[in-house]
Amino acid sequence: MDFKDTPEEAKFRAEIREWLRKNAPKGKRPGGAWTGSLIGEDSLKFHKDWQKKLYEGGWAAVAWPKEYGGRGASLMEQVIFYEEMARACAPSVVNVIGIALVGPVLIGHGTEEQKQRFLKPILSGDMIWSQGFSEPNAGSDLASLSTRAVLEGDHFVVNGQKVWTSFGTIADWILLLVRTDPSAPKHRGISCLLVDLHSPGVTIRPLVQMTGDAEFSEVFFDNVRVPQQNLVGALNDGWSIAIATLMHERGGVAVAIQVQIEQVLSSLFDLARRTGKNGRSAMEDPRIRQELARCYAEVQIARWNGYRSLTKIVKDGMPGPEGSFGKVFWTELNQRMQELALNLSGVFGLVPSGDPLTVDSGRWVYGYLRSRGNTIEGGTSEIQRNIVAERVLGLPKG
Amino acid sequence: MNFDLSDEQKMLQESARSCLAKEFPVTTTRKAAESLTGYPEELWKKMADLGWLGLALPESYGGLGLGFVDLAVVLEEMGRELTPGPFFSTVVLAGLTLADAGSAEQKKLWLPRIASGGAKGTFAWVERSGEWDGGALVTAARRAGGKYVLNGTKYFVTYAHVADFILCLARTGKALTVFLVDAKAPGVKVEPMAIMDSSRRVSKVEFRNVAVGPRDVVGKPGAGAPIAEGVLSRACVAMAAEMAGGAQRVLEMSIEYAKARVQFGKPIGSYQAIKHKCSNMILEVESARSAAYYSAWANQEGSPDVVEVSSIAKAYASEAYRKVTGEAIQLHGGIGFTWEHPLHLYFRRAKFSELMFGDPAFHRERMLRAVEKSAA
Ligand SMILES: Cc1cc2nc3c(=O)[nH]c(=O)nc-3n(C[C@H](O)[C@H](O)[C@H](O)COP(=O)(O)OP(=O)(O)OC[C@H]3O[C@@H](n4cnc5c(N)ncnc54)[C@H](O)[C@@H]3O)c2cc1C
Repeated sequence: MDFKDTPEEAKFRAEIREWLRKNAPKGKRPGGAWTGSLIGEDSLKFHKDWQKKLYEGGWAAVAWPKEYGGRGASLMEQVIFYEEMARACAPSVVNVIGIALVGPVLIGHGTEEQKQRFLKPILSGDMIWSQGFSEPNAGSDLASLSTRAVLEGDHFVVNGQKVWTSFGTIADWILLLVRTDPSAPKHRGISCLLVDLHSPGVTIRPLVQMTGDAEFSEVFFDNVRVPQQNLVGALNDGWSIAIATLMHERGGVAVAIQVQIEQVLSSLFDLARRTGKNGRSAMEDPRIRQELARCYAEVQIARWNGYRSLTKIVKDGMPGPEGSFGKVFWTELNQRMQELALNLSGVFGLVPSGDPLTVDSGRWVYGYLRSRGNTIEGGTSEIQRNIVAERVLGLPKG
Repeated sequence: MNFDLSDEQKMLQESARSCLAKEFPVTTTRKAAESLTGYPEELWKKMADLGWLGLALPESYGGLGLGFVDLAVVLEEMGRELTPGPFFSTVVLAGLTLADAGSAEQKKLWLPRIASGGAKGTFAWVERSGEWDGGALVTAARRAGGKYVLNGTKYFVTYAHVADFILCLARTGKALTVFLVDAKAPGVKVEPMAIMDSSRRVSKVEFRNVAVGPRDVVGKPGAGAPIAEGVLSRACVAMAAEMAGGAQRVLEMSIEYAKARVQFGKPIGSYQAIKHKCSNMILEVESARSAAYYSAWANQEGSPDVVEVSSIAKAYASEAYRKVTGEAIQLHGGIGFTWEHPLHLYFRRAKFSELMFGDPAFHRERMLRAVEKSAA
């Protein structure tokens, strides 16, 4: 047991720290930038510029192998990368789905041609990706999806609808799960396609979320022709790719998430220091101190759980039980932190962004509302708890 | 970064588990826990033979010179079986305190005897106010010539009824000082107390005009506060490790029962209400374990965040333990509510561990002050 950096880790840390010192954006950020929201021209451009800079410095996707423009960083180095990004208050990358999900899927299952064509623009942020999994009648039970793709000559013809597609309005491409064999058992007739959202027959309708922003969309496919070479992996073997993607979503992304919740915690403490409560600073109110301390403790514990599961992955190639409930842990903790922030501000906590009376540019109003999505997206908390009970604890299926 | 036990530590874990589960399982030690001393004498002898008593004491004083993480491994296993006896009081509260702050003479006299099983010690802290804050203490040592005269009453002194010496935290003027008092010294009166958890023995200890010399001061006169901070941090971590072990054992019993017990034609573990309970339990158990071991490491390395992380471990693990044992009783139905079933022993121990050495609210406040201090 040892939590100090090895000499190599220390070297890596010094390198990224120095780079961030020179390159991380300083000063005021456009509205919405504090949440990583990409809504609004300004915010999108700000994040795209930042991604370009990361790309040029070779930092856009540290986890990818060197030959594809990454750094071949070990898991530990990825943790260090995100820790240093947080320390420098650097913005997140714009092309999250491209870098965290699509890239690794292509590196693992894509053809050489697909890798050559897509990986570089994913890194540079020139090609923004989205994830087309959920459908109106296929949410938690993803394998029941019904968007159809029929092979006609050297093209698939796609018909159907996806929903809740994050970044749908700004994305150029979509990683799409489609049914290619309706007669096979439901997990065995699914394939995975790379689809250009600018193709004829694609209609994207923004859906306004409870935050008031339209961060996700409905995407309709009406006889959309997709070249056969855009199939990822084998025909009808899309489910294994879906699973791999979800593993990246719940695993790899977790490292980056830790940094986000640490940033929320530190902003929450800042807010408490600036806020008055019952005639004194909120930092002197015993009840608020208890709540802040509880959040502080749990953020640290989330980090230690993460360290344990990383150690386990490095040693055995698989996380231990402590890796299985990371998403439930951080999403529910984040909801409590956001709620505490609103409560700290009292009635003024209700004033949204854009109003001069708002607190911290409205980030807490947004965060409070947005955090309700965290326990739904990427697999609901109920589904996560089922998975822990059945796969980790071995309880019988219902 | 490496957050795992070493191969040697895993071996220690395995041997401790098989020894305690085979020779001293909770089902048999619970009878001994109700005896006069509160533990079987063979258990103490076994601990000495296995080297556990000197595990974390310096080699120069007859110990094995291992670290707090190794100690946490053994404590976690003891937590699994609710192992009774004065291990925690003798090793964690007394032994490590002397090793940390005692004079060469005190170490030479007591540490080798602790390591060999020949002596037992404990630490007297809390008073009738029930407050763990040093400022609340009224037991005082008055200077008289070259000596001190100690007066006051301490409560919840763990295993004082079998201790050879007692470290007593007392007021010397405005400051605090820790004194090493012979348990048989004139004026020391030990009276066992009744508490809800019989797997842990505590006593009321009265000091009436007890004479102590300058050689009985631990560290320097007036240096009691930082010594007590160290005692508290180590107690937090040790209890967190025990609690993680206890909670893990209770989770295992629950999973086993959920798979075996059939109602409405199906194992109860196939019902989602039970599944989600179990998933919440493992989340809390594993998180408590992460906190226990991280803080054990921090204590071992003398890391600057020791106070902060020890209090996190204590606060989190004790709430987790209480919830997990409560849910386990619910999950077992009627059988879980019987005297016969060991679950209530864990439920009782959880509450004891939650309230001893400061409740979770006390530790959250202690943690936050440490965080504020390091940020300033
Ligand atoms: C902010 C946000 C962004 C998203 N982005 C994307 C995206 O980019 N791409 C994409 O493909 N999808 C995306 N999604 C969709 C998301 O993956 C689904 O919403 C999610 O999987 C749940 O599906 P559903 O909405 O159909 O709910 P349902 O599956 O209908 O669930 C409704 C309720 O029933 C519960 N439930 C369902 N099955 C069970 C069960 N077996 N046991 C216990 N409870 C159960 C659920 O937990 C939930 O509480 C996004 C969602 C949100 C909120």
